[in-house]
Amino acid sequence: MFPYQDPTGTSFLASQGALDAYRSKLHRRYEAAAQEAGTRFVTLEKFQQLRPGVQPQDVVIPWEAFPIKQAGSSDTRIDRDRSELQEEYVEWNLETEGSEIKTITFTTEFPEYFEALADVNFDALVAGLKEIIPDANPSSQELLGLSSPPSALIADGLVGGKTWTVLNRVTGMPSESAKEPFLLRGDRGNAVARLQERLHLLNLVSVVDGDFGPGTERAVIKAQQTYTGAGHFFQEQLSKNPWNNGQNGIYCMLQRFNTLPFLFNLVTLCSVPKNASPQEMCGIVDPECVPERNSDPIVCSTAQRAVQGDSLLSLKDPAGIRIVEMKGLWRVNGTPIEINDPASNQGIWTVSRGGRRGVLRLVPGLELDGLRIRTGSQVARKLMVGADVLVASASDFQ
Amino acid sequence: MVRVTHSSIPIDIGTNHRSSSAPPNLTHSRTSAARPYGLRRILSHLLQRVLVVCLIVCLTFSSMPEAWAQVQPQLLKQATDTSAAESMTAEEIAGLNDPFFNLLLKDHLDTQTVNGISQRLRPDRQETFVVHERIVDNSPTVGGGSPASRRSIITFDGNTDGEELNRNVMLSVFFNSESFPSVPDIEAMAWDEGNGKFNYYKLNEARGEAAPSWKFRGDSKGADLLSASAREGTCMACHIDGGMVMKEFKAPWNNWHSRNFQAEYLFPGARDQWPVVDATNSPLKDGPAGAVSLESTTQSANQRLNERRMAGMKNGDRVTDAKRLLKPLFVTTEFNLMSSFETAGNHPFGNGRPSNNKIFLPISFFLNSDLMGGIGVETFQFNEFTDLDTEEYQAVVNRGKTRLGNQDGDTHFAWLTPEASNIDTIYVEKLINDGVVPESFVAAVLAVDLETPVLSGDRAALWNADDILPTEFRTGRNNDLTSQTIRNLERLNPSSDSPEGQFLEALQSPDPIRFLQSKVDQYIQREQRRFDSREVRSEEIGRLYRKLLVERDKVEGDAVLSHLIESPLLFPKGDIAALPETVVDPAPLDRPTLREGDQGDAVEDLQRLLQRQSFLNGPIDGDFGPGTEQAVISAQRQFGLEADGIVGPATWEALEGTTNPQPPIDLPVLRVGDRGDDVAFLQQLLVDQGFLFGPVDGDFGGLTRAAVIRAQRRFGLDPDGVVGPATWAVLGA
Repeated sequence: MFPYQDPTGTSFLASQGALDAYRSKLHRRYEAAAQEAGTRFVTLEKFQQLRPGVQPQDVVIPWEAFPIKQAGSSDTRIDRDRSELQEEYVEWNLETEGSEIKTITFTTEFPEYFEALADVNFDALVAGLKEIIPDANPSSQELLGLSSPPSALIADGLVGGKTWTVLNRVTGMPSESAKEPFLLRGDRGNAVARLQERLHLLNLVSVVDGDFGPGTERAVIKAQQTYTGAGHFFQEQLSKNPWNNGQNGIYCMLQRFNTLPFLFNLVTLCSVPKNASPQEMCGIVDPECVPERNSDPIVCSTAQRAVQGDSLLSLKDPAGIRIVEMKGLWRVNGTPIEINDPASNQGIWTVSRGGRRGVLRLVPGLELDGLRIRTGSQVARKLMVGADVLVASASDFQ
Repeated sequence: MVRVTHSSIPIDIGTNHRSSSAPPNLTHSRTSAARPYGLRRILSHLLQRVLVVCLIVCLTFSSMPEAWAQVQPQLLKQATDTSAAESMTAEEIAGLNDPFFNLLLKDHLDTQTVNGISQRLRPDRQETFVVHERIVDNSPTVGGGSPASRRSIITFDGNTDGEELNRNVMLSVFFNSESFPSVPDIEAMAWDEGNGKFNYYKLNEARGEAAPSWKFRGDSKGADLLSASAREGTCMACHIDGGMVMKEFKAPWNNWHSRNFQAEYLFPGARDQWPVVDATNSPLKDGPAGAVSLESTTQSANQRLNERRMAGMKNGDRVTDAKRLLKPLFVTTEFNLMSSFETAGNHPFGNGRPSNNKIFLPISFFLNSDLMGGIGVETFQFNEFTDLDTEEYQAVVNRGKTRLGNQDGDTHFAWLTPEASNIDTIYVEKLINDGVVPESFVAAVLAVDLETPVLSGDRAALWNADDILPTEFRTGRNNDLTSQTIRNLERLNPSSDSPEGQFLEALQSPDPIRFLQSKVDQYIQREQRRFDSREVRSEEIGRLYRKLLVERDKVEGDAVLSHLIESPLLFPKGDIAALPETVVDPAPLDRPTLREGDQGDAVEDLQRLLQRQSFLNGPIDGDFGPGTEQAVISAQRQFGLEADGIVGPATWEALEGTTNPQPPIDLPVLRVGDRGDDVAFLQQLLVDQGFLFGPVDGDFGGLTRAAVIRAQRRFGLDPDGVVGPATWAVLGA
């Protein structure tokens, strides 16, 4: 499997034992995308097979965070209605004291990262949250919608319904747990192969041979010890999670179009070469591509332009959306500041987590294009986010 | 976005763009410069000027003193396109303190190419934007074979020798399908922070000059005060307030290369790629940059100009020149263009196919939505019903005998309308921000002639009158703008329907912002009734289209604003007389009691109402079948009526009275993460209809979401996985 990086640029996922769960989820997305009929979207493994000396082209596709489609909505309405209106793969939240805004937090982070942590156990999920909100003290009810987190599996090497369910959820494999047979050491056959496939995704076995031997048993025990599979509950709780719905802060996106599957779908479908102008592609793959969005048309036409030029493409690891640049003229008490330069912006704008989080601190006297910051929408108009795409000519692959 | 770093720009300082083999010539003098431009190129140059020239090339017949061309290079100035070039005094030169002057014109007047300029400015980043009224035309030739021309705008980013380049230096350069640039002329504008103004420069060859030379072409000081005649032949003809002019400020940008219309022919490797992309010195080797990036630069630069303009009209907390200060609130000083996002498909030379989607009329056609949004007034409801089918749009375009240039046709994006300009909008926002003008005062102004967002004669008249606005007023806490204005208006004792009367009523209302919102709501409701009415709808579309044509004519008829119409291809024209000026508001609907099995016009009306409120997704066929009945039942549930599927007076009233359906009480909006009996009910419906193969466990997880999406796709709904009234309805809840 491709060694997908921790998107925050740290080794945090690995330190929590969640890197393999994260990788398997991502891997499933790439695999599914590359299997779409006619698409020239390929996996990152494929990009490792470029002819020696050939470097893929790294294309940054930027767009502004403000949802232009929402013209006519007041800025305060767009600020308020995060789950409906903030739909450019970036969401924001205001932290206020009284009626005064203190900070505005932008996130482009997909929930899969935290799902992987939750898949390990509740403590790992909490640790992940504390990376962002250090004094957070979340409850299981808040993060998972459960009065207590799912308990660990019994590490007995026996594969029953619960073990199947957890393995399916952690790997993002199709969930047909109920139909899977009970398995134990000594079994052979397709069901064992399916089990091994999941264990392989989690980097616990190296061969898939349909033979439940001692290696497979050790792997099952390891999986049972490692994963509780609660990522699924985390995902479903997102809009009610007070640490993410704005009540106590935000840490990843929850709007229905701002999802990793939506991004993969868009790029995959727009990478099916058509006998049409690249910019017409968005209309062709409607509704997966929404013409009134900022993001979709430019992502779609860039992909289509690349594949019409006989290239193959993929989403660069770490797949996702990142903050590219803050535009606008920023001043503090009349003096211009270089907002994108952490060395000179006085800590007013901090981008972290591999570009997936940006926090604007509203110090007194801060102005954007001559105006005090009164809404997050005002800042979103100036914030450019984007996706990174890898492109290489088909003839450059071995 | 195209990022061109300085280091990637090939070095060629020579002026001869055609001969790539010419050695770099860093010290060429004017006399040694070859004349690479043949007759054809000069003709093409002239043609371009007719099309899109803002800073118009000098065609003076007075002769240049020969001596000037021989002595040490020195920056010249030229007052208008038709006046002679003159030398500048030392004092005038000392008044220039912008990065373009300091890095280039001060000591390097012989820098006469874009690459040469880049080398002097040494930017971290350089972006090339492209605009033209024929942007959608990929044909590399026009008018029988000459290369098609485009205008590029080049911006820079970085800090060189202490000079900030970002939003401070902009170039305008013409190119064509074969070469970049296509003419030697370069226009430049640069921000002079110390003096708070934009300086304008032009490289051109005035008559009598042996070679092109740079000239100072004036600055933005007092630009807002200039009469139409004083602007003639100057840069301020187009740069009306002295700032940057894009004319189109928001997606989808009808005439700019942007994400919404991408000029494929300017990208390397495109099927219809123009030779210029690969031409020597072309900055288009990676394709052009999208308009959105320039937009941000423009807004920042213009607001900075606005601030300096305002500063001169205030003294501490006193506004000393109220009339001049308030002008952009009452008078359309510049305009922007807006359109729907959909391609009309009848552009005379574009390749755009008609969009399959409905054409949503831009809200800013109806009212000044940007400024209203800034003061918390909601206008988005227009988006919920002002959508036209492609056929309806075609019908009205034909009815209005629409022509673009001298051919039948329309703009690339449908319904191109003038809207309030960004420079005016951010100016007013700045007045509010600084406590100079209260939001409530702004709301009261916007309430006058509400339905004319730009070029309102009524609002201009209020500003023009000598006895309405105060000459001076206090700002901040003791702001007396409103009280003085009210006093002045009361003295006039205006009738309630006059502009003065409307203004007074709004100013005196307890909360002018709510007053404005309520006027907006009434406007929305009236329009919605017309759009919903079978008899009136097409007439209303005709009336609105007439209004659109009239708005364009108003711009053309304005002595100052008409300078921004640089090409007959900017605005489609039509036959105003062929369109209705007024419509008769729809009679109250005939409201017979309806039930399954009924047919006819009343059923159509019912279906239209149901569809508008997302209860019905099926066809409007005048046939009250089971689908319509299900929709009626869903609506009745939502309105808390007896859910019997029979449409009596109460159901009619509820359907007509509602513009914003609330989530139903008994059938909530459901999405991933929800749990409970409602979810179980949903799952049972999905299982019964073969969409869900899984447990009915009351837990809305991924499987349920997938099933919902399957159902939504099947029934032609937006497959968003969220169960709202329309999804409940199609599932037969």
